[in-house]
Amino acid sequence: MKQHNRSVSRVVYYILMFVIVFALFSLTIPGQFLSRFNLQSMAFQVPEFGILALGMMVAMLTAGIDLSIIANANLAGIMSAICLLKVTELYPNVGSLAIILVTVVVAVISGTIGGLFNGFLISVLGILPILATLGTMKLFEGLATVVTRGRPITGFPVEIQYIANETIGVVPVSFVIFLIVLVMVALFLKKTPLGFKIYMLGSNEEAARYSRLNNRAILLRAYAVSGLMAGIASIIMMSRFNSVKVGYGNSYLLQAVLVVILGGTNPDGGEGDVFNALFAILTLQCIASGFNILGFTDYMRNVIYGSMLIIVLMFTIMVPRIREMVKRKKETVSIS
Amino acid sequence: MAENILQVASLSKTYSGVKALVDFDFSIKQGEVHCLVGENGSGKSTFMKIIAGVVRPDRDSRTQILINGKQFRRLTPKDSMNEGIQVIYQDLSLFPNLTVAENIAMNQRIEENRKTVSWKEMRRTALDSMEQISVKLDPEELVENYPIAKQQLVAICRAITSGVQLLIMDEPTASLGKTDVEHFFKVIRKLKERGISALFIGHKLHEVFAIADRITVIRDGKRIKTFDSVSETNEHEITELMTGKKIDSSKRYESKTNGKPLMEIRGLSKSGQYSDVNFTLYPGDIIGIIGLTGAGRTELALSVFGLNKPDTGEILIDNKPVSIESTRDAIKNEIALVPENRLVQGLFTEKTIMDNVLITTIDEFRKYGPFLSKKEMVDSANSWIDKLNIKTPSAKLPVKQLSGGNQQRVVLSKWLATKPRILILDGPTVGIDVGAKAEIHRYIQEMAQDGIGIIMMSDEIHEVLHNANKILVMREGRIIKSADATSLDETDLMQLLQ
Amino acid sequence: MKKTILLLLVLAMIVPQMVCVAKDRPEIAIIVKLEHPWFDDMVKGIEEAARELNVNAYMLAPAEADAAQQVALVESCIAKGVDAISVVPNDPAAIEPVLKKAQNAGIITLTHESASAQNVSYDIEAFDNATMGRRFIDNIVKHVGPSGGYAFFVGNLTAETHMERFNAAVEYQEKNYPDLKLLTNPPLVSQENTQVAYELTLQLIKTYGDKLDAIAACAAADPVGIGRAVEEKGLIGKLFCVGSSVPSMVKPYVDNGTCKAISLWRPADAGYVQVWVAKELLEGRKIEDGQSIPKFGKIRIVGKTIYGSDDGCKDWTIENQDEFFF
Repeated sequence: MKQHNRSVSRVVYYILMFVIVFALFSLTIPGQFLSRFNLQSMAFQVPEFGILALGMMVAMLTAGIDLSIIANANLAGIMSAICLLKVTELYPNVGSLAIILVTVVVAVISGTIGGLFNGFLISVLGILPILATLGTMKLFEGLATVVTRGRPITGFPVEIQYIANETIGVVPVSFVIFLIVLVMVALFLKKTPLGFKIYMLGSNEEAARYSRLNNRAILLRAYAVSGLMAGIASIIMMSRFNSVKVGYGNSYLLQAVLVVILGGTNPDGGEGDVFNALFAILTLQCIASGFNILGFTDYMRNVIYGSMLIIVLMFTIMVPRIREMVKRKKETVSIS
Repeated sequence: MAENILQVASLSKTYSGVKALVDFDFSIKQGEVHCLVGENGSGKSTFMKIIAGVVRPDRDSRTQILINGKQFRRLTPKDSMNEGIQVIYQDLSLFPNLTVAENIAMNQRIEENRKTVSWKEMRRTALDSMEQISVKLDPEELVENYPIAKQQLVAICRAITSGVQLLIMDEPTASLGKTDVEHFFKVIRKLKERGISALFIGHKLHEVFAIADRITVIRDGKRIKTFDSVSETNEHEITELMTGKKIDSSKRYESKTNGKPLMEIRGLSKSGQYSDVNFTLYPGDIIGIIGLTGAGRTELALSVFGLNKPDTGEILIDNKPVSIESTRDAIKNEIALVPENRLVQGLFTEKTIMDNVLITTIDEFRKYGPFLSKKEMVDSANSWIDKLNIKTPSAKLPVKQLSGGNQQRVVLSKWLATKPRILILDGPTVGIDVGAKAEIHRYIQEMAQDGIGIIMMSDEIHEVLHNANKILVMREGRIIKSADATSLDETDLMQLLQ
Repeated sequence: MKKTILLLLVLAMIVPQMVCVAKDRPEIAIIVKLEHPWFDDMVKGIEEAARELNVNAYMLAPAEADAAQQVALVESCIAKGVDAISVVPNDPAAIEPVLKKAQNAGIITLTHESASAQNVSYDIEAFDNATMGRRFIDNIVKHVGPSGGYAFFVGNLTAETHMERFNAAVEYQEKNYPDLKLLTNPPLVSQENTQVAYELTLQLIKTYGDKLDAIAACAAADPVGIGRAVEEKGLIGKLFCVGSSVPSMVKPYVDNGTCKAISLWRPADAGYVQVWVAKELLEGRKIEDGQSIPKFGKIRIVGKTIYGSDDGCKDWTIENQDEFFF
């Protein structure tokens, strides 16, 4: 048999986890779970959360964390909304393309600037990521509250609503965007020198310094990518709620951390795979939707999430040990 | 003749098929210091763990374990402790955020299963035990505020309060400086006077010779030989027994130096670290800088690599003054550093061999727009594995699964990949087995012969003597001697280092 | 191994067939802000309605009060194919798109406590602010008599709901109880702060002494401050407080007699009416202005908002305090 490397064999576990959960719900509530409506609604719900989780994952790969990611996304959405409304006010006849362009560009730039600011605090000033991003979380929230006085901004053109509420065929537009972003992040992490360096830096920051890597520049860019994800997620949130406001999606924060760890990313940094994370996200969504159909409360869902996290952590610790044992056995056989 | 406090016969241990210990016989007399020497993986730790009761030996009717004349079928940690055996592992197993007194009295309190605390009593216990080995430490001080050498004494005191009869220590001198080692030996002699036996597990042979009454050499889990007196043998013989190879130690490295100076260090100083360092490095040179821990050699190495800015002085490369303030400057000047702490600074231990080898040159593998060429990466990694003879089934093996020697080859290849002109090696063979050491030394010499200028920092006399053409002796931050290797011998260096 | 798994995955994606389970009873989901004693009371009303009207009505609450979680719950309900959804939104603006989606899927949508809702059949409110303002006066008269002096607290002069209550109260009082006297006009501002309410009350007592018989308070925190001041000055039984608040906040002052009546709507009633309205609409009936409905009495419809009348406005007093509590 062909020799698999570690990351390939890992993804099998995550697909398996997803398939088992999916199959369980399909068997217990076939009519409702497997309905087109439900599958579509799951696909509508995954993108914004999924993209935020990807941003969180990039930060966690550097052995850091980005607690400000939701606040950053809300701020980016608010900036974008303000610019958009100004543009439509000044040029009422502006075309659809321009509307989308303004929204996307402003959101992405704002999110990236937020991320760069995090990166600056962490890499140049050397503040612990958890503290730095806790600080910026409050800062972004505060800024956004001052700008909006805590009220929602609403009333966007139909083009904006299109993004998160319409479908291409049966697939939601936002889900397609999510998949594209996912593939790009995967390519970035696994196929570019910077991605390679992010993994290495996360694995051992000191060895990275001794290997002549420019740790500051790498961290700065990693957090910028995290912020970029916040910016992209903000567009989808903006569209999905047809409004922007401080505090939307706050409950995603810990869920994002959860799903990233559930997806096999090492909280100590340096290890993690985008596709594993994808299947973790899909699995969680199945559970959320399935439980909803079954009429369980949200608290029950939290119990399941928590248990899954513990099970996965146990797995990631046990599987290498078991493999080690098997390997030793094989080696002794081949020696003797 | 003294009684045997511990005697084992035909002890074996197999770990899922791998034989770690084979029919091992061993004994320790009362009041003797017995050193067990062997390469890494030779089985000495396994033996130690069996005696501590942590690891169970294989079932074998011939196996005998006698402690204080009592026969044991198998030992539990409790049996072992009840018989007065105390093990001090390398990490010392202290509680750094508790006081000296608390640490010392800890074992006793656990043994007596007491639930109340009497600070006065603890203090007295601590002072008592320190008295016994003529050590003075503040019982109220937190352990973490003391250096390693003092912490070790705390661990010994703790063993004493637990009524130690046989003290087992794993590489006790591994992280001690010269004077600390001497003090440590004094403590051990004190224990000896009180009839306490000691078993040392180690590989620094000159220290072994300084303290041991008897020496046992272990290789591949088998007892090779026991010397009843150190006068019966010498370091050379022990080394050969440990490795099972003949080693020629009379030769010196000869530089085929020609051409212009590569790098010149002029009056380099950094307050509190080193001062007025001068030397010139030619292509093909191996300059050995020998100094004990704390002599300033590591700090000097970091300064040349851009990680420790010097206060004054000049560095010239190709006769031109350069400033090396960051690792980026080091890249520009083609300088590489193999750092002292391999596992923390040198390697990404969780990552694969390939990742580790390619980290310094990853930007060169960008082929398709912004994307890396996986194929070229794999090819390059494999070619380094071949070139430096790294023993591994695959380039995708995490380096933590490699032996120390193979790990160091990975570090070397990652730097050779950058095609450096100047290579700084800080303790290139620390913690590497004698056999693998020789091969690393051979690579270093080959690299120099290819025209790289090499600066090798070390605290091992042999390493410097046989592998460098120029030797600088460093002490308290100053170069106290600078000479050609051929003009020096072991005793000269020994004296200079004292 | 990998291939088998992929195959399974693909199969699982293709197989879904649109099996529609025939439902005997209409399914109505009420999505509230979060788990909270307030909504625990609402469940009682929902369950009561479900029993009486023979529908499958239930409440869903996110674990955190976040608009995103509510949107997700509505999404799931659409997917599940419920017949009607009613939302008590955390952020009214944020749920509009998903409500629209629900409407497009042929689901009846309602809201509660969201008078600006767009993509709904109706928003449901227990009463309008004027009703509550008038109730304050009625309660003062009940305990003080038709003559005496009273003061009025609002959270802020810019708080529209509070000012509506105030204006309606004054108008009603002038018309029906001319001997009752409003001592301070404009109303006093408590800033929705217990401490401020406490200090204002002390000042009032100092200024007006015996002339002050009652204080009406709009903000939930005010009765607590007023109650404390009255208690300290030993005026229990002489100076009363009426107003709107939450039972769990004011219980001690209702128990000791400083607060005579807390006016509010009962979540259970609102729950019941949401189910009732949904059922009416599902069965094709219309809701009409002036119609009398259970719990809320004769209703008024303004735009898309249904307001209950006096029946929807309940008083929580020492006598009936065991009926409900949250």
